[in-house]
Amino acid sequence: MTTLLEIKEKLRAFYAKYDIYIKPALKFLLALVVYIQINGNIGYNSKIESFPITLVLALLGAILPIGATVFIAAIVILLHLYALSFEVAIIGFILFVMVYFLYFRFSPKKGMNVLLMPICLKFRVGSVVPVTSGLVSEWYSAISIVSGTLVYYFLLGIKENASTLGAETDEGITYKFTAVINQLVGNKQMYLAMVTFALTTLVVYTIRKLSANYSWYIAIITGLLVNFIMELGGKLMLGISLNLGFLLLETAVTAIVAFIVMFMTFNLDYTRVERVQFEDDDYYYYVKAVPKIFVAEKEKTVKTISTKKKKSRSDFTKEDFEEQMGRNIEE
Amino acid sequence: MINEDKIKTMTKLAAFDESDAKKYSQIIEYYRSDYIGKEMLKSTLMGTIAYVFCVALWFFSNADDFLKNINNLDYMSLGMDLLKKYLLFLLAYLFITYVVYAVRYSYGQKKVKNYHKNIHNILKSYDE
Repeated sequence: MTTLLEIKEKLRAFYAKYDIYIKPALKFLLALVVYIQINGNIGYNSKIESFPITLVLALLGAILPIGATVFIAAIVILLHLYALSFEVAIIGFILFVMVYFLYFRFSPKKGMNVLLMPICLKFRVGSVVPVTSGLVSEWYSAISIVSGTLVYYFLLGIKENASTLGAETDEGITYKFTAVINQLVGNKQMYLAMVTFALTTLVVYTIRKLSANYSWYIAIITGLLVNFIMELGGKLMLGISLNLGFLLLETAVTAIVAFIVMFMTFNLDYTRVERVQFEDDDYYYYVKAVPKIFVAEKEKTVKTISTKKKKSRSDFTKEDFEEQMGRNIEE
Repeated sequence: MINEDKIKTMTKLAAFDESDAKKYSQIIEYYRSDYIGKEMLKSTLMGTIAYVFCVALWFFSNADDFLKNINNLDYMSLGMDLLKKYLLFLLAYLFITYVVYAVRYSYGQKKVKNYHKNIHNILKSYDE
């Protein structure tokens, strides 16, 4: 255990020293993985699919905020969908606009989960994001998780029916609209995933915020159980195909990641590092402040009941005299 | 000699100036009712646009049926049904907006109050 704590402190010190390079590098990596996944799965526009363009967009992601990467990813997706079919692109545009109006209006800076969810679902470890978000984010991160899940299943549906959607058809102008919307409306697996992940995030968040001993451990274990039971039970009830081995592996991977996140971040919130500079008469200060994560303590109220003591002549002070004189003058 | 308490206070002040000052100062410029009212107006507009898009999606997915029965549809009851759903949706969306921005206003007020308290402490330390 001591070795782990030493490793943790060394990692913390390393991150604290070099975070000005590490953060852009991680953002670049995330953006690169996002664009590679988009191009690999729905890369219908050969011009944007090229690696130099992907690299340039990923470099932009390194220097711009996460919200900008989300915006650029949405544009790239729409361009690919437009190359496939105009109708599909229209539906995709409407979907993204609705996600923006209903969620990003309230939290424009919290787009990370919308990017991470499709990647984790692609690698069959979708529950990693809800459980870790419940540990380190606020309750409304559940909405970005649901949005990310919606985007994933929408694009999965497009990919699976690309040949039908991309072909010229005599069925009528609304055939493709109906086909695309049915990907979302009738998709029981998507609804199950959205409900499961939202509930998991909220359960983990609620238990984590309790001022109880080992609340973080209980939160992680309960979140994993909720996710496992809902996915297993939901898929059996709805008749969706289930791979128990993958589900158990997903749960195990999520548990490992969650405990690592808890171990590294329990005390400090590195997502809110503040870098400031100021001066006074004697020094110029370069300060880096890392806020702590506080668990609210229970409010204590102490009520004392005592009888009012009558003042004797010997207790009468100068202040009492002045107070009384002031009152008499006013009267 | 470095005064640690002064550094801590000045760090908090500088951190607030750097990241939160613009956001919370704009919030505090309004009265609570005006701020929440302004955001609810924005939400009404955005919620209406989102609802119109939803209805458009629903229309496109059933466009063939609509076009076939274009002369037989009961437009009045369809319109009333859409209006009822719009009002319910708007009510829920405005309720969420109210809660989110009321909490944000209270939080911003507390932050600005702490900021002024810290400024007062720093000025006091200069007078000593």
